Amino acid sequence: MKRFWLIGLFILVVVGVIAGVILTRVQVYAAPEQPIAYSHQVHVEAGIQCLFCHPSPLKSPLAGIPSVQKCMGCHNVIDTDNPEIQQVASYYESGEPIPWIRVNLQPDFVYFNHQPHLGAGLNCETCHGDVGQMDVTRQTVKMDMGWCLDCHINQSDEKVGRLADCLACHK
Amino acid sequence: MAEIEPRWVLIVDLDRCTGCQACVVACQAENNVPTVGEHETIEGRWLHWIHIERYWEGEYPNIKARFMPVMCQQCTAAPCEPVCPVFATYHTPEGLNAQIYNRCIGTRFCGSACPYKTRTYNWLRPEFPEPLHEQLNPDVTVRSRGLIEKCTFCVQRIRRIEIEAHAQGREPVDGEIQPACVQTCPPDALVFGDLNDPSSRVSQLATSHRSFKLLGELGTDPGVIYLKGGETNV
Repeated sequence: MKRFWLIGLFILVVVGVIAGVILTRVQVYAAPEQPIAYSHQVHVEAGIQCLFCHPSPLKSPLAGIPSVQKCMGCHNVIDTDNPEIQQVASYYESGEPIPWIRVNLQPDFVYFNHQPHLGAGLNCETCHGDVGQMDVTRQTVKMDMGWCLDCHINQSDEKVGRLADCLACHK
Repeated sequence: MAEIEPRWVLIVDLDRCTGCQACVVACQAENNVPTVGEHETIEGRWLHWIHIERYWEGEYPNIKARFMPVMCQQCTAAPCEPVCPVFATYHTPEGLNAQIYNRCIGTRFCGSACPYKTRTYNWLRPEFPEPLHEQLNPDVTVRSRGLIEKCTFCVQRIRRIEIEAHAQGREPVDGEIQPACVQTCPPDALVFGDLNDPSSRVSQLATSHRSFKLLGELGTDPGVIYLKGGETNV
C-alpha cells in the first residue's frame, strides 16, 4: 500500500514538472495581444523594409518603435476605411502613443545593443525569426543566456575572450 | 581590436581634492545607487560606491582637513575574488574587478575580504522616492535586496564608447572614456585612462614621484593610483 502511494507521488511530481516546462514555453512563444491588430506580413508584402519603421538598430542599442506620426504618414491616404486604421487615427488625433506590448524583452540585468550585432553581419531574421510571414508578431526563440552563448562562445580566438566575458552582456 | 587589452586606471590627485563630494553624488545618480538615509548609515548600512575619508592633521588652531576619496580599487590580485562561492565576482580581461549582480547570493564574504571596505551590501529593499525613480539609468541594473554592489569604473560608459569607436573602425582615444565621477570632479582631481597605453595621461601621472597605492604593502596592486605630495590640501 505504501509503495502504491510512493509511485503515485512520483508520477504526480513528474507530470507537474513536465506541465510546468510546457506552460513556460507556451508563455514564451505566445503572441501578446496588441492594442491594434497590426500585421507585419501585410506591411512586408507591400514591400516595406524593416529599417523603414525600426530605423536605429544600425547606430543605437534599440531598434525603435515607429511613432504614430510615421504610421499616419502613409495611413492618411491608405486604407482609411479600415476600423483598425481609424483607431490609429484616433490615437494620432488625441496625441497619445499607441501602447504596444513589447514582444522581445531582455531582463533588467542584461545589456543588449543591436549595433554590434548588425555590425557583425547578423540579419534581423537571425534572432527575430521570419517576422515578415507573421500575421501576429511573436517570439520565435527563447532568448535565454544559453542561446546567447551559443553564438558568443563559437567565435574566433581574439574575439572569444571579450565576447564570452560576463560583463559583455551583464550590467 | 586592440592588440593588448587595456588596463583601466583611475588617478586620484589628493593635492587637488577638496572633499566636495560631487563624485559621490554623480556616482549615486549614474549607477542607480539608492539613498538609505541617516538612520541606516548610523547603523552601518550605508550604500556608497565612493566614500570620502576625512583626516584631521595638526592641533587647533593650526588644523588641516585632508580628504581621500576611496572607491573600489579594482585590484589586480583582488582579495574579494577567490572567496566568492558562486563566482559572482571575477576578473575581466580588461583588468576590471566585475560584480555580476544576478549571480550574487549575498554571502558578504567579498565585503569581509576587501581591505578597503568599498563593497556595500543592500540590507534593505532599495527605494527610489519620487522624483528619483524618473532618473534611473537604463544601462545599469537596479539592484535588489541581499546582494553586494561596488564601483565598476562605470563599465556601461566604457562599453558604450568602445562600441561607438569600433563601429567607426577605431580605438577609443585617451580621455574619451570618462566615468561619472571623473566627468563631475570640479578641481579635475580624477583622471581615467589606459595604463597599457604609454602616451596616455594616466601613464604619465602614474610615474610621478607623488604616486602611491592605498595599502600598497598588501600586494593587491590596485587600479586606483593616488597622488599626494605638497601641502596644498584644504
